[in-house]
Amino acid sequence: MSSRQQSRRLKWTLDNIRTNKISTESLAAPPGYSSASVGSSIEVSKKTDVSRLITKKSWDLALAPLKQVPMNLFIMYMAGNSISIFPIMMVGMLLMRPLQAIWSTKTTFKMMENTNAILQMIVYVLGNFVNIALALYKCHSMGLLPTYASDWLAFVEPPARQEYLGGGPILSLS
Amino acid sequence: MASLRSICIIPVFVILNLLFTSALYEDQVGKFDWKRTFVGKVKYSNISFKRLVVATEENVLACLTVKNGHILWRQLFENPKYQQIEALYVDDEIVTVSGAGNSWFVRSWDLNSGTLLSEWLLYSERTSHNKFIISKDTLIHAAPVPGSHLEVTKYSLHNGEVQGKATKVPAAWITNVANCLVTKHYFACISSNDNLGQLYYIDLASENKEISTRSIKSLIGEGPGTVQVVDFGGEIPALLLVRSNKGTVLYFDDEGKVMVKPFNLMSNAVGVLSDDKRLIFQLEATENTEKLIRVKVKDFIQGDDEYSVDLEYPLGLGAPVILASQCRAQACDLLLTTTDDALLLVRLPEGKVLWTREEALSNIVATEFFELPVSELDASIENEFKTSSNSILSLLVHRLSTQVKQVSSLVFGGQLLANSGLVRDEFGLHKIIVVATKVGKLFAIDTLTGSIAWSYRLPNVRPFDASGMFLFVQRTARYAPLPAQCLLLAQDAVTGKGVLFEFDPITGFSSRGIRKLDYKIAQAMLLPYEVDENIKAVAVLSTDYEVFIYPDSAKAAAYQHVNRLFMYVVDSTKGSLKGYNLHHSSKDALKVTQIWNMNASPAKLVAVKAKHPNERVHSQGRVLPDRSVYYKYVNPNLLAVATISEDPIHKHVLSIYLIDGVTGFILYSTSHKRAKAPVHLVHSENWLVYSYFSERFRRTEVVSVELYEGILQSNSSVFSSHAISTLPHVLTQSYILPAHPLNMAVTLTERGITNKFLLIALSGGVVIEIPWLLLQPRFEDIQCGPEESCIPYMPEIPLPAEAVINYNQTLGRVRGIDIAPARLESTCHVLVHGLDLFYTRVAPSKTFDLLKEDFDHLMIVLVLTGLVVASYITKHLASKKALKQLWK
Amino acid sequence: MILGILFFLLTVSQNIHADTSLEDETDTNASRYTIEGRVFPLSDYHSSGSWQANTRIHVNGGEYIGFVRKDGSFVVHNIPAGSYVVEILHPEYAFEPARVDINQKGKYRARKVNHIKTTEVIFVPYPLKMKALGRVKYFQVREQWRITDLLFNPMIMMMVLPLLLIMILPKMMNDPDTKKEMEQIQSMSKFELPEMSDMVTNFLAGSSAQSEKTDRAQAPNKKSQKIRKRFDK
Repeated sequence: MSSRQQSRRLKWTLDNIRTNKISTESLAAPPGYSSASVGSSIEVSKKTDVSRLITKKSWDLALAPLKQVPMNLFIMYMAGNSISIFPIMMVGMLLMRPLQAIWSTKTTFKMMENTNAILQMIVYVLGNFVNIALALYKCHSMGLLPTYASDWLAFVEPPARQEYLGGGPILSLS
Repeated sequence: MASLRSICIIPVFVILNLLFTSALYEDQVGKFDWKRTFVGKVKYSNISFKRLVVATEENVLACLTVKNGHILWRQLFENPKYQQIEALYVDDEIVTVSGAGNSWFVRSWDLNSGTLLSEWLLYSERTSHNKFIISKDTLIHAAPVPGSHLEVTKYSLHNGEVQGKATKVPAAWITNVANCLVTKHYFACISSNDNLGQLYYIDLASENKEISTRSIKSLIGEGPGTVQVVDFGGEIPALLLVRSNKGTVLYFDDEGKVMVKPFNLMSNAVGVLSDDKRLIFQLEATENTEKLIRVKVKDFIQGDDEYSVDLEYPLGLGAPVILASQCRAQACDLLLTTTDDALLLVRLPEGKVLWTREEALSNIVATEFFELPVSELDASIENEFKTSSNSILSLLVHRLSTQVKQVSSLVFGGQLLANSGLVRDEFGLHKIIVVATKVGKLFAIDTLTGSIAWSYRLPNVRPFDASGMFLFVQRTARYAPLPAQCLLLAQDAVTGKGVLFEFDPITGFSSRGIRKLDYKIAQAMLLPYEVDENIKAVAVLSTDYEVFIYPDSAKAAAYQHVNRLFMYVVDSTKGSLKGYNLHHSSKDALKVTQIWNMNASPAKLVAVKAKHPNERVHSQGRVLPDRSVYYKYVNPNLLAVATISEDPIHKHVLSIYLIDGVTGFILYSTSHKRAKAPVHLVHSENWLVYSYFSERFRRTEVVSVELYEGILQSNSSVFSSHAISTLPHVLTQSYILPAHPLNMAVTLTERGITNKFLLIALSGGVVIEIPWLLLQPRFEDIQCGPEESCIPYMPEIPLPAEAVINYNQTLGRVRGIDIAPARLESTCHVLVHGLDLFYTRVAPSKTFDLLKEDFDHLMIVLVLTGLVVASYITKHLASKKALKQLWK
Repeated sequence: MILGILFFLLTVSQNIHADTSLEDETDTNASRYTIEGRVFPLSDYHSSGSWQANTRIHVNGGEYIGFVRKDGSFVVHNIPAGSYVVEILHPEYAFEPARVDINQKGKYRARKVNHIKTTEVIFVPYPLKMKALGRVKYFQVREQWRITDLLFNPMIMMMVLPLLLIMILPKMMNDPDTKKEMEQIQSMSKFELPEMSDMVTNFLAGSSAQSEKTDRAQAPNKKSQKIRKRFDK
């Protein structure tokens, strides 16, 4: 929804610029005013402003995951290392959100109509990876990752017996 | 000190409360446990009106109701191994004389409640062969000294005062005390068991104590065979002289003269006083297969037959003997005991058996739990996939027929097994317990009700001297069309040679009957390999070091694995422990060769314990707080051995060894000074717990030993006793047990995931469960607290009442605790046997795999339906509101 | 707590070193003694039929046994000199055990049983007076469902509190004064922070603009542009 709005606005602003241009051309310039130099500069500045806005927006998007890092750190700290429903839910969110975000990188950047948002995409993905790493660290510190030998202990099969022993007290004397 | 102590105790008890939450709820009483109470083999008995007083070989005095044989009250005396009840007298109150050696307890009891009225101690100079004669106020103690004299002392019955003086009657004619008996106030003896013998008798109640004599020849004439004196009973001084199974009644008249009855009786004849008329009862065998026993009633004066009744004698019982009788208004009650220790009450003249008590169950020597077969319906479903034919038509026919059968069984109810209720349940909680008893009778007991499913008496069989009998599970009921099979090993009562009995534990049916072996059995083991028809073979070692395999068809398989089979034999009398390896001696003979020998003498081998053969160790290591693994040293061939040696300085020294049973390699040994028996061992997984009595501190101490391989596992796929690279790391810890243990066992579950509990039978008649976690040795360098799920060390083991698995059902003289896993991982079956029989289920980690029984099904259904209904209603309301808003 | 355990261990070890004097008396001397005492039941004890018949006296775990007479007294016969633990066993009532020491001369001494400090002597009267401590509780009490348990459950509290907030806050919002206050708070909390994305765009845009545009002089920075814009207006 937001992307549609943006595109609409872009169109709208373009129109506005055009009317502005026309108006400046039709009116007589004040004396001692060189319209040529100023007009061109305005036009250039306007053009750069729009593309700048787009890049700014795209960088906004790209840096969003990184901005979440301090917040995530805070949440992690607050959640604690005990395993109960809320910390688990939080860790799950921490882990799932960046994954979903990476999955939908393309759609997120689709609204950026200019094609050279690769750098932003990379930064975006990297930022999400940082979040995933944080979530994994949290899992690790909560002991949820099977990284120790003890985590696999339940799957260790008992060793096969080579020898069998039987016997007991002597039952009857010869 | 006190405050410090309380500070450290409080958190400990918090932890304990968490641990012991597997206690029972009050409403669970009797839900899955049952207790059966016994008195033992009856020695003396007396029927008076509605009560039956018995004194038994278990040194127990009990009062039963005549109506149904239920115990009104029961008093347990001292250990029957050392002391016995020697006299019973019932009048207004009960008087018993019990003891051994030279000290005897004379106790009098209230008939109604079983409360002690008086007790005094009778000392005598003579240590054996004491006879007691009890009359209204006096107790006459007669101590015959063979070849010399008879000592007679008279006591006042209630305070033990000596009345008059002890008199010595010269009696050189007492040759063998077995030939003497006491009948009323007469002491009678025969000097020898042949025709030359003389009958001597004395009236002990009289003042002058004259010895009278008559020759046997003059009494019963000459004849072949030995002569024996047998008690005749009745209310008169009388005895039976028995020669070649023919008895003659002699009685002493008022003037002290012997009178002889001119008729012959059976040796089991008994005199009874019935409404001032004397009768003689004797038991005879009949040809009638339905009524095996006939009671013949004779007149005392002439010996004429009054009448005879055929008894509805229950099948499977041994030969009966009349113990006591009571006649009132024509009806007579006869108390019979049988060779298999059963107690029956017979009402005459109907000949009806009022009740039977299987007292053989008070002496169990072997126990095994059996899974029940699946119901016929399930079995037919299983069979459906086992058909061998391939043609579509036959398959179709088979399918249709089984389905018709299934439907019919659904409609009309199952047959056979379903009717008897012996069908496997979902969780394996319904099992059958097969027990072998000392008298050689097998019983199958249903775990749900405690009722006897079947019983089978093996004549002339007795348990082995050292360890009772053997029951081996050759095939469980899991292999549907094939019946389960169990094998019993015992020894012949006469020759001592082996007896082998194969049977189906569910029905008690045996296709081959009792097989007598022509050798003596030294040891036996169940082989771990299944041969044809899923039968596990049993290897029996004879005293000539030959090995026999049963069944014969399993020989080939046994030969194949012969190098992997080892046996150990403990000879506690010689103090030796020997290890053997099986090997071929010829093409079809197996022998054993000794590979190691441990000689503990002069120390005594007091206990040897191997691990339970069916034990599964789920976890191969212990997780340390830093989440690394410390691997357990789990050696299935490990033996724990305890020896006690006499020491001039330390009195007794207890030594404990952990020996690899295959190689004889001693992995660990330790010793305790001034420690004496009783020693109990519990051996499981990688640990051993033993208890002993510390003479130094006069308390029972418990030590736990745990073996670890270390942080690396040497070989995780195969365990071999020969591949010992390093000695295991041993952790130990000792505790105080503030009680006297009689027996110890450890729980066993299907997969070994559940925590382990120790079950300890205490002298007070309770069986208490103690979590192994409480005893597990703590690591020295690792902190111990609730965060590490570790209980801080405390020297005294707490014994809370909630941990008593038999709650207020006190058990008499516990001799064994048998444990079997249920199919439910959390639960195991426990059978405690001794004088009483108690069965219960124990769930050491609570029933984590089962919904709680107080789970509110109704509540959850109500809540769920409520939620669903509420969601629909709100949905409807929401749509209505949305519509209204649109209209606005 | 650790201190307590340490103290425990210390006392235990001390005992181990100290107690060597008292273990002597097991002798096969023919002189035999009796242990006497009396059992005092609880007041509700009488209700359970004849309690005397169900009570047993165990000396040293059943090595010697005694029975209780009608009046509650008991005598255990035939005991050689030594040290004994006397227990009263009853399925429903608990009793404290006592240790009775009988020396060679036949002198009696009764004291409390202490398995940890075995030499500790706290005298109790002899002949023994055994009082019931109370009924034995073999069973757990079943938990009963109560509405307060549900209400004070932290999970329920956590669910209910936000719900209340959601319900109550909008109502508070309707009040114009609070609305103003809220707005004020909101306005106060608004303060300018340089945006990171702005900085990055500026940095990157600046550099790209520099590379794109040939005319360096005509590529002013943002500030100058802004100033110029203001002039335009």
